[in-house]
This record gives sequence, structure tokens and C-alpha cells, in this order.
Amino acid sequence: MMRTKLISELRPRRELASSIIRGKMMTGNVAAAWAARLAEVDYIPAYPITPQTEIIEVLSHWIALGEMKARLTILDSEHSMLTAAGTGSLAGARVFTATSSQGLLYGFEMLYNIAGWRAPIILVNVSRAVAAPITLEPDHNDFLSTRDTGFILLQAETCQEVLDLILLAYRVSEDRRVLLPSIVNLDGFHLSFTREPVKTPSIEEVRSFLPRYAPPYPFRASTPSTKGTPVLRPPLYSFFKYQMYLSSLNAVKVFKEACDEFEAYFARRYDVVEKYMLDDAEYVLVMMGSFASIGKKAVKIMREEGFSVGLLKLRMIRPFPRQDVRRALEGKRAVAVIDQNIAPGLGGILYPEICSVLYNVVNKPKIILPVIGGVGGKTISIDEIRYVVELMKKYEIGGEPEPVLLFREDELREVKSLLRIGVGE
Amino acid sequence: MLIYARFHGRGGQGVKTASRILGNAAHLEGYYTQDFPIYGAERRGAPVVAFTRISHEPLPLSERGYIFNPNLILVADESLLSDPLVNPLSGLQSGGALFINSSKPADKIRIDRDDVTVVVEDLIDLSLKYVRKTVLSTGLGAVAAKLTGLIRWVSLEEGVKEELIEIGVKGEMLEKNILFAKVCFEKVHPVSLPSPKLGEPMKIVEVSWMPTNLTIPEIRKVGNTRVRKTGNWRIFKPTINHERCTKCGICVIYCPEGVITMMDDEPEIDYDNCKGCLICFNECPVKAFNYVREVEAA
Ligand code: SF4
Ligand code: SF4
Repeated sequence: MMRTKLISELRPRRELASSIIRGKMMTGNVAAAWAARLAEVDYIPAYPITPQTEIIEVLSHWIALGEMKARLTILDSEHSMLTAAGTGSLAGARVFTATSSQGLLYGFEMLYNIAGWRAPIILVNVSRAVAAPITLEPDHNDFLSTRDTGFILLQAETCQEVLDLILLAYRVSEDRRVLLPSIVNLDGFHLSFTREPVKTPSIEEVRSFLPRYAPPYPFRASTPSTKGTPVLRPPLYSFFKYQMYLSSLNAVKVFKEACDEFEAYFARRYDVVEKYMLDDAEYVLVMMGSFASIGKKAVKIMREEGFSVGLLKLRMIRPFPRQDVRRALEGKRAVAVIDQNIAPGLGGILYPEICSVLYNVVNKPKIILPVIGGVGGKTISIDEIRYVVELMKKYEIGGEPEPVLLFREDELREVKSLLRIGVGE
Repeated sequence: MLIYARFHGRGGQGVKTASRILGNAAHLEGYYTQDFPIYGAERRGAPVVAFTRISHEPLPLSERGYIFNPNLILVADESLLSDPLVNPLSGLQSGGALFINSSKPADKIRIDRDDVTVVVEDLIDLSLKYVRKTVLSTGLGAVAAKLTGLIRWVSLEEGVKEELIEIGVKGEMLEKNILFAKVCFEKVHPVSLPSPKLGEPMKIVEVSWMPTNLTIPEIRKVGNTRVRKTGNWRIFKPTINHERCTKCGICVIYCPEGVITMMDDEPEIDYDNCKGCLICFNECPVKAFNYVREVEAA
């Protein structure tokens, strides 16, 4: 079983048993670092940015102590960091890296390249809303901006999920049927700096769940090759991109297979979506990430009050698990998509994706309500979720819903008083 | 009446400007026209295609982009005829016209079509004579304008002027180009061109997932540059006077293509891949290089 130096040195043996069964208190960032450590990554190109920095600090600390063998290099920007990550992977290394928000956007063009090279790196993004205005708190605009890059996108709700999804992501990304990089997203503060018990599997178990990466055609001086070739004939470009699309679709099946094995090894069950009190629910909230925990709580409370409410949590965003989402939502009376992001001129990013899955379904929900909530880390209260359920019922009778922003009276008061300070009005 | 003209050439030969000269001349003549180039990485020698559409009615909006069924094709570089990636004759309408710039007589050029009018002129020779350059834009545009039978010299002259001034050609150079255009315009005669027909219906296929070893955009087969002979678009061919050569090796270092090697202590040029830039000629300290006009494609 688990016996890493860090824990065995710090804790007496009696307590070790309990930490195996009940886990150990750690932040989402530390859980991410643990996943990289357990996956025995070879190479970690890095660049610091809040709220991701702790991941790199922990990893470099372990490397300094000799507990981890990886090579960690600080690059001069996220653009260089991602370039190093992709090329390191092409050379055959298992690569881990992490960033946030502006950093992700700064390296953005390389995301398309890494996916195009078919380099299966894992990039952890610690969500933080994008400037301007500047904030450190999370929403999913940074993460979701990568939705067309070719990366597999996975979103964690808990610190345990952070660790587990990274291990699963390596399995899926490195599978020859997929061979695409992944982003595992965790919300800044609400996961990155939140501590909760996390079970760390033993390195032996992880080794057999996740064998060493066997790159298909690694860069070698002895076998020269050209990667990321220019294709000056348009049909070639279409062909390669479409094949990338088809490979990304394979990730649904490959992820499910990996989840079955994961459960056999580690006794935790995952799927591309998670249903919470959903099967018999008439009204459904669609959410993702750490705020889904708040959604679940609200569902539980409303259930006790007699409302037929359930929640669908999206765990895999790309490929978009169309079938699973459709099956979960068809036949429901109404669905509300709570987008923790904002697309100016449109509403939320996930809303049209959910609608597109349901449009051709015979028994589709009568109403699909677009909701924007939690942007820039704005909290969501149980009452706001209750309001969403009331809106679903209202529109079920008639009317065409426009995107609604979840915003409370106390918040508007606060904004007004801050405006008085800031602009004197 | 519709002219669908397609120009094939290599980067630096002026094919794009030729298509613009034709387009602008036809526009000034009162026709509705559209011109459009397409090229890959911008470098001399890379294949370039350009198109000009001419109609006496406003071009329908659905007309845009690549011309699959031209009734007039102009090939600025004879070596392109045998390039399978360029395939310059593809889609040429039966009864259409094909112009080839070549130093060879027409009966020495292999063309697999006997249902088209073939016109051959040595535009490089004329360009060297009148402009002292190997750029063909003006001559090729003039030939194209004449072949259509739609464009008078006044419109062509104005078209040439506007296009060349736009790319910074002026003064004596502009005059020389107009003379070059005039000579070319007078050398060829209009041909009657069939109206373009739609080609055979194209079959649509379903693309399914293929194993990743085939679908990573990379080149793993080594040594395949050997099949691509980049020397075939050379205009000037360097030669070495071995009696004068001191075997200093400077040309070996300067050749940007790396195609000069010391063989038995003598510099030797791999003509399959020498692109004719003449840097060797310029750099040799004892002027052991000479060059001749390439008349036969390599
Ligand atoms: S630079 Fe001139 S002298 Fe020197 S090796 Fe080449 S040809 Fe001979
Ligand atoms: S002309 Fe001379 S320098 Fe240029 S490619 Fe040929 S051999 Fe090399």
C-alpha cells in the first residue's frame, strides 16, 4: 500500500492506516501535484501564475528532496512552457504542466499545435476569470476558450477528482485510439486552495493502471522525422483535422473503459457525466465544477421540500458526451443550464451545446433555460438555485427565456457602495 | 461569354501580376472580372496558381475561388507540365487553349491532349531582351489578353500601367515593360474559346477513423526529398571552368542549397537540385563560374 516518504516520515504508523482509508487533507493543487508524482511524469515545464503556483512549488520541492525523478524547468513564459511541453512529449516524455487564466491565453496558439502534433500532455488549468477587470477568482471562461483546440477537457468538482481525473486523463490521452492532450480543470480557490481528504493510491497500483508512456513515433536522432508538417494542399489539412475530430470522439469510449478499470483498482466510480438525484427528477440543473457541490446541496434541500429536482454534472466537456447528455435529459420537463462563464453577445457557452444535443430528440424538455452564475467567483446561494427552479416552472407555462444572471440584492447593494467609492456616483 | 483563365507558374515569375493585368485590362474594357491567386509558403520557385474570370454579364455571386474547368490555361514554366502535384492541364475544356512559355518549339513539348489549341512562345527570351529580367508578368498578361480576343491594346496598356505602378514599377522600367507587353500582344492571335462546362459530377465519400499511425501530420519516411528535383525551375545554369578554379571551396560554403560538393578535389554541381540562384557565380574569388540560359528543362 501507499508508502511515500513524505507521509511515512511525518506520521506514526497507526495514523498511516487511517490516512489510507480516509485520505489525507490536501488542497486541489497538492492533489494535482500528487497525480503528477504518481503518474511518474518525466518532464514538467513550468511558469508561475496565481492560483496555480502551489502545484509547481510542491513538485519542485519533491524533486529537490529526491522523492520525484522528473525534470522541472522554469521557462520564460507560458508560450515557451507549452512549446516545451508539446515537444517534450514528441520526444517521448510523459509531460505534466499547469497554468491559469491569462497564462493559458498567453500560450494559447500552442494548444492547437500540441493537439495537432498529437502530443498527449496533461495540462492542469486552475480556473481564474480572465481580465479585464482583473480578479483571482474563478469562472470557466479560460478553460472553455480551449474547447476547439483538440484537447480532451475534464472538469473536477472535488480535490479527490482532481487527482483521479489526472490519472484517467493520462490513460485516455496516451491511448492510441485518442492520442490527444488533455486539460484537467480545477476551480481556483474553491478547489485549488480548498483542503479536503484525498486518498492517494500506491505507486505500484498506479503503475499497473497507468503503464509507462510508449510514444508511437518519438523524436530520435537515429530516426529523423518532421513533426507538425506544413500541408499546403487543403484536402490534407481537412483530412488531418477531421481525423483528429474522430479520435477525440473515441475519448468517450476510452474514458469509460478506463473508468471501469479505475474502479477495479481504486474503488471510485467515474463517468463522463454525473447524475445527482436525476433519474426521477422532472426539473434538472446542468452544472460543472466545484459549484456543482452547491447545486447538489440545493437539490437535496428542494427534494426534502417536495420539488422533483435533479442535477446533471458535466465532467467531460470535450469530446462533448452527446449521447450521455441526451439520455440524461430527454423526457425531462425543464432543464436549466447554469453557465459559470459569460459569452458577450450570446449568453453562456454550454447552453447552446446542451440545446444542440436535445434539438432532434422527440421527447425533449419543453424549456431549456439559459442561466449565468458564478462568473468571476461570485458565490451562488441556495436561494439563487431555488430561483432558477421557479423560473423553469414559469417558462414551462409560456414565454421565451433570455439568459438570466444570478445576482442578489445584497450583492447589488455592495456593488453600488463600491461604485460610490470608485467613481463617486 | 465567359473566360475562365488559369495561370500556373512558380513564385517570382509574376503569375499573380499576370492574372491581375488580364483582370484589370478586361475590367477597363468594360467586362465583369475577378482575379485571385493561391500560393503556399512564399518563396521563389514554389508553384503558384492564379485565376481570372471574365464575363460580359455581372459575375454571379456563386463564382469564387479555384477554377476547375478553365477554357484558357497559361503555363509560365514548362517544367510544371510534368509536375504531378501541379497537374496544370487538369480540367481544361475541350476546344480550349493552352499557352506554354518555353524555349522549345511546340512539337518538342509533350502534351497529352489533342483537343486543345497549343500556343508556345519563349517569353523569357523576350523578357531578357526588352526588360533585362526573367520576370514574366507583363508578357504573360499581354499574351492572355490577346488570346481572349476581347481586349484592345489601349485597355491592356492601361491595365499594365496600373498594375505595375501599384507594385512600385516606374520610369524607364515601366516603359520597358509596356514595350514588352506590346511585343507579346502582337506575337499571338486570338483563339476561339468554348464556354466552360461543368465537369463530371464528383462523388462524395464518407471519411472514417483511421489508425493514428496514418493520421499524425508528420513525415517519417526519410530520404524522400530525393524524388523532388528542385532544379527543374532553374532559368540560368551555372558552369565551372575547372582550369581557372583554385579549389578553394568557397562556392561549396556559399551555395544555399548545398548542392556543390568537392569530388576528387574538384567542385561539382548537382544539377538535379541547383536552383540557379548564381550565388556561386557571384562569390567565386577567381571568377571560375559562368552561366548559360537553361533551355532544356532539367
Ligand atoms: S569558389 Fe571558385 S575557385 Fe573556389 S572552389 Fe568554387 S569554383 Fe573553384
Ligand atoms: S546557382 Fe550555384 S549557388 Fe545557386 S543553387 Fe546552383 S550551385 Fe548553388
